Formats: sequence, C-alpha cells, structure tokens
Amino acid sequence: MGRRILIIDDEDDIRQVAALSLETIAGWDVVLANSGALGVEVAAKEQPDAILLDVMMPEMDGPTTFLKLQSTPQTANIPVLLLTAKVQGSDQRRFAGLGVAGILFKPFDPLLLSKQVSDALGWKD
Amino acid sequence: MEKLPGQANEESSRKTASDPVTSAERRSLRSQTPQEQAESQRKLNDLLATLWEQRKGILLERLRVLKESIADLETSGSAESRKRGAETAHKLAGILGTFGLPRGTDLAREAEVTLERPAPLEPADLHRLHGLADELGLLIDHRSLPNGR
Repeated sequence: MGRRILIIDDEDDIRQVAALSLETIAGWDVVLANSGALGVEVAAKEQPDAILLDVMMPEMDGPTTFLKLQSTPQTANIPVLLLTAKVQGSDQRRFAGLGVAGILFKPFDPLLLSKQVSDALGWKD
Repeated sequence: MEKLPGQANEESSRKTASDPVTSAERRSLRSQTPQEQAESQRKLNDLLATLWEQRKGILLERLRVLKESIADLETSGSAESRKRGAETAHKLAGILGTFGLPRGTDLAREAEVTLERPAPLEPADLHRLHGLADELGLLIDHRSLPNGR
C-alpha cells in the first residue's frame, strides 16, 4: 500500500538518505522539510501517513514541533516518530513522555528504515 | 501538487546538486519478488555510495570544525567552542553509521559525550579528543564499502 511520509530534519544528509531508503525499498512517497516550522505547514497541507521528526533542530526543536503538530487540528492525528542520535536513557524517557508514536535512533540502517517505521506504527503492509 | 514556497526550494535542492537520482527513478526500483527486492537493495547501496561521494566533502568540513573547536579549547577553553564541538560531533555521530561507518558513530559519540560533560576538560581529555578526530579523519578519508555499501 502506498504511504506518504514527511521527514522533518535540518540535516541534509539525513533527509537524503532517509528519502532514498523509504522510496527505494518501500516505494513510499516522501515529502521533506528542513525545519520544524516548515514541517508543520507541510504536514497540514500534505496530510502524510506519518512523520519522521528530528529532535535536535535550531529554532524549533523536535519536541516543540511535535507539540505544535498536536495543537494543530489538521495534524493532531498524524503519528509522529522521533528520530534522534541521543542514546541516553534520560533523553529517551523524556521523549517517550511526549506521547509520540515511537522513537527511532540515528544512525539508522537505510535497508531497514522502512521496516522500522512499519513496525513502530503497526503497519502490516 | 502545489507546494509551499519553502518546500519547493527543498524539493528543488534535492533534485539538483545533492541528489544523485530523481524521485521517479527511485520509485522505479520498487520490487515485489525476493529477487527484485535483492536488486532494489543493491541499487540502494549504489545510490548511497554515490551520495557518499557527493557528501564526503561536507563531512570532512564538519570534521575540520570539530578539530578547530578542540584546538580552541586548548587555548581559550571557551564554552562556545565546546558547544560548537559537541554539536558538530553529534551531527557526525548521527550520519556516519548510516553511511556504513558504525565505528565513526562510536568515535563521534565519544567526542560528543566528552564535550558535553559539565566538568572542565583535562589535558588527557584534549589528547583523547585529538585522537578521536584524527581517527575520524582516517575513517572518512578511507571509507570502503562494508557489507556491500
């Protein structure tokens, strides 16, 4: 089943690799945004099936972006997976407490990213 | 599909200098059978290798910033240099493993953790940071394609 994923990350490399991975392996459509503010706009307009959201971004970081998505009626029901290179337990607990659908860790394996997303969201297709 | 102004810029940048293939080309690699799936994985590895060659210079520039921050810490010890170094190490940690360099992620993460510690840096810490940066440079310069990547 075709899916549309929005990737919000300020890092060009991460956006590029994740897009290559999801489009090539899973055949999903990918939409990109390089900031939290733009990501909220794109999410409202494009209505993706899920959002991969980087944690550490300048100006509007991942948690702040997530709260903005949650408070926006058009995006409140879109599942969000945080994407982070932070591996410390305290960080993970803080992120989980936000109410996100899941947490994926950098570095990710490009061959497995789409499976990780599907598993985290309970997608069977 | 209509795009927001910022998104259009983003899409444009993806499909020019920094993107080795177009979205349509990537989507053409979708597969169903195990054989086709293996082929799409091989093609993804090829695309990643191409992307690596395009991005290697940027990663080396980040490493240069990290080394500069470490050098600054030896002389001034400023909080700004430490923060910049930690942020740069964090970015390297996040991407190197994705490009098939898990050792690079480990090295960069150690540098990040060291720079984020609240305690003042000792000479031994700075010596270790130099060693981490040097090894990162070797890894990036001589990246082969582990596991076919």
